Amino acid sequence: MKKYTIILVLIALTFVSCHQFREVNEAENVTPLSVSVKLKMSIENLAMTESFLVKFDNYSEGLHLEKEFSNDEVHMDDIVPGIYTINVSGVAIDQEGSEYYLNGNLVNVALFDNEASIELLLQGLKISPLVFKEIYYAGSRTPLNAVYFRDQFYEIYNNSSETLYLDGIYFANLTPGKAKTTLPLWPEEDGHDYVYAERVWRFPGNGTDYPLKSGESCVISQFAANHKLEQYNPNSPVDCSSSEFEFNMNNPNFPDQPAIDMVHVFYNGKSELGRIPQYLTSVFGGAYVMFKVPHGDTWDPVNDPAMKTIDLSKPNRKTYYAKIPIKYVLDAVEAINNESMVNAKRVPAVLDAGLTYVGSTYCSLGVARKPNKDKNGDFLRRENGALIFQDNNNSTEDFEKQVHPELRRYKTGMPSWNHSK
Amino acid sequence: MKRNIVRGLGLLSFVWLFGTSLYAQVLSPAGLEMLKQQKFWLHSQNAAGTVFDDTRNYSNVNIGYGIEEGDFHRPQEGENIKSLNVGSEGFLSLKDVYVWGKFSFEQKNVNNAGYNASITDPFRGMPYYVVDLHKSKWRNQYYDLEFRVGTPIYWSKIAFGLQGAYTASIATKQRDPRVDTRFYTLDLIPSITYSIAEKHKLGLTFEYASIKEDSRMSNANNYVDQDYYELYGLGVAVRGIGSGRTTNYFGHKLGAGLQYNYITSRVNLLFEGTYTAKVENVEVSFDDPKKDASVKDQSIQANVSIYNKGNRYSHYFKTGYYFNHIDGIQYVSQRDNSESQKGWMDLFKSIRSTYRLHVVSANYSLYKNMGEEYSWKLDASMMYKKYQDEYLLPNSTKRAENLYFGLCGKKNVALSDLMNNRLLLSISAGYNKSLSGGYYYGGSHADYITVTQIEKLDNNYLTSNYYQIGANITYSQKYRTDKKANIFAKAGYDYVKTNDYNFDHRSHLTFSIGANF
Repeated sequence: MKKYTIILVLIALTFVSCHQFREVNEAENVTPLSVSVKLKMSIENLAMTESFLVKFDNYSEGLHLEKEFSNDEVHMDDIVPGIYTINVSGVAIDQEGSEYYLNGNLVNVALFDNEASIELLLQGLKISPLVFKEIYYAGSRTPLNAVYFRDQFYEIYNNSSETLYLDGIYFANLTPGKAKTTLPLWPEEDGHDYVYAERVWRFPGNGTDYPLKSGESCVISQFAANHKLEQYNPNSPVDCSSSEFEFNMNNPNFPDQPAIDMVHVFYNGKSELGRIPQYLTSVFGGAYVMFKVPHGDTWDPVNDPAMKTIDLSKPNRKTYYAKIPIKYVLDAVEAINNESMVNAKRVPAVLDAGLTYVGSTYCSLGVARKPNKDKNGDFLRRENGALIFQDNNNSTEDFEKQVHPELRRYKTGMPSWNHSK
Repeated sequence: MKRNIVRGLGLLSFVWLFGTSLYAQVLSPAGLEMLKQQKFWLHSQNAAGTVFDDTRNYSNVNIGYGIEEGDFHRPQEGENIKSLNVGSEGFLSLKDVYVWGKFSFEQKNVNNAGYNASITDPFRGMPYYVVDLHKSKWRNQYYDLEFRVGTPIYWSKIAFGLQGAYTASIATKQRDPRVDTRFYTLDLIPSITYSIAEKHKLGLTFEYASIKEDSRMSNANNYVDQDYYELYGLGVAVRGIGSGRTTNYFGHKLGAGLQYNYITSRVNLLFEGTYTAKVENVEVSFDDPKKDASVKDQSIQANVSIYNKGNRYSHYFKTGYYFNHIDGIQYVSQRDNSESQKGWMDLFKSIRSTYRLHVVSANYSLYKNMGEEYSWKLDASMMYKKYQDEYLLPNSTKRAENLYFGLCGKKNVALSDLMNNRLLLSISAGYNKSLSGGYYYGGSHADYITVTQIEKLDNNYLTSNYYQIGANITYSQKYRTDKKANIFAKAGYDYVKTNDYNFDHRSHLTFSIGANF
């Protein structure tokens, strides 16, 4: 018996080694590829389009190519075989004069065939008047080198020339909370129409309670306290006590602050807060959206089964995620660990064609939206002096990485109803 | 399990050697050195040729301690290494078979080793491993068991043999991101020799080896995510943060060798040519394996050794050529999250990097005979080494060309014949001339430490001129006048000095005691 076992093991080893040798012998020296991209528009009645920019990003190897073009097809040369994110973006105006960002992307495209042809769907999103201006998610370290994550905050800016109302606008973080390559599997019938949230909050108000004037910003903090106080973390880079809103989770150790509480809407299929008394988005970087339900629509992910789903790749795990129609979204930002995790991109290109990161955890660093500048390098401003921030729906371009976090950077306005005024 | 096998084989090896001592004659360190150098088939891959070596029985056991320190080292080597080793080796001629065995164990305490958080030996021809930013201690253990069995000549023409080796190591990095890595190879070389005529012998060997390294990274402090870099060769790297990855390295080696031996009472000549091809795969993660890369490692080696025994003087000459070519193959793998698949798919592979090494060497030794020992010995050596490494796309290159000359003199002082007291003194000197070399990086992320530190420092090391001096002293005598066991104590010191690239020196101090039977 022993003899046969030895013979079988030897045969198996021979087979495995032969297979390994045959496989490596098939490999040839790498050569650059040529690939063509054909565009398919999802918006009708476009009156005018500007030139498009196509980008090929192989983040893991740090290879980036881009080209401008004006037709519906472009050829890219000198591509090293690998896994790429392909982004195409441009601006278009429809016959009614509405301005759209046209974006399309394909994530994790394996390019290895020369002369390959790729079709890319371009979707349009109206340019948002409300944008994420600064996000601080990475946390900080205490003097004893312990970790501290209560100082996370999200700043929202009125980038338009009109006064807007925050009332009823939603904030959510998408799933997976942290970038990873094993992305969830969503219902096929959802198509490209939704993003999926872990937890959803809403600004309170009856419609006109929380106006935000042009050039003003508001801050939502995880915990709206001065984090530099001795009892929290003297090493924290921020004092969030002037925040307009906070995500109050009724934690007696981190008591309710004067900031207004955000309204909790959804977590795991329910409206309850859940058992863990904290709202923490990933210190590696999350994906955040801000959205508004249009007048006449109802959106209730708790009571409407059509607006929530489980991850179909884990059918035995009954964790529910809220379905957010992409057409509701005002702004989205995706943050990831670092450039190597772009293969795990969660947010469709129509919302955020890029990504941003601080590249570390508990490093007291955040990401901040860049102000637009003129050719002389001066900030572009509206007539009232409000800064105009860059918004290409591409966080790679729109955000400055690894900044020291600062509430109301560039001295943007504070709303009159702020409690600390 | 593996450890038990090693222990068992080690015990077997010891019993073997102890048994050998019953038959062996006394040997001084110089005598053992001369005996082993003359036995050309022992140095070849061909165990079947043992019958032509006419080797007498011998055994050797030793225990040693070494300290190595100084800043002239490759970036991944420790600034300071302390090692403890035990070893045994012996040859036994039984009635129908010739048996040779060797076992060694070494514990290395490596301090301040940098740029490796993944594998036991970053210089073993595997470019795909993980590095981190911080220098760390390593605690490494090495086990090495080798054996050879050769038959006598059958039908006056043919002999058969088998050589085997099991080497294993356990290495653990002591700072986050930590690694616990276990490496082993099992190597088997069956062989045959054919006696063409009394003076002409021909040998043939085949080789099969299985290689495996299991590398598991983790953080002891889960609250601090560490930066690390996954290497793809010549500075190309992917940056990550967290606790790192687990990596499964596994491969096989196949090879063949040809030997020709011309032997008379005064002249012994052996030519050996070998070819080996090794394939090793690199898979990231054991639970959800992703094929990351492979290496195809081919080596050609040709050596000629000549020994001429005279009445007063003997001469030994060996020259050889070694060529190693590694193709670094990277995969385009894609995650399939669909319900039916769920896993990584290998879509495409291509050779992204190549590593070539040429070595030409020559050694000459002149002995003044003194019975079975030598009275004095003079060695002269030369080695030409050329590295040609290239990352194909985007193109990066690293090259180094060196010529080394060495001289060594040994004097075996016979203090007394009653107790076989001997003092073996040795001094050596060498000089390395860097002929050419340089590192050019044409890829992305030129600011990564993999480019600015690892490859740059390694290039500096490989293109440095240096000189080397060393001295050894070995005292030996019989254990007792009525015993044939010979005991010895040895101390050695080597010093390498350079002024290039702000390097300074490297020194190596060794002590050992042991016995020959």
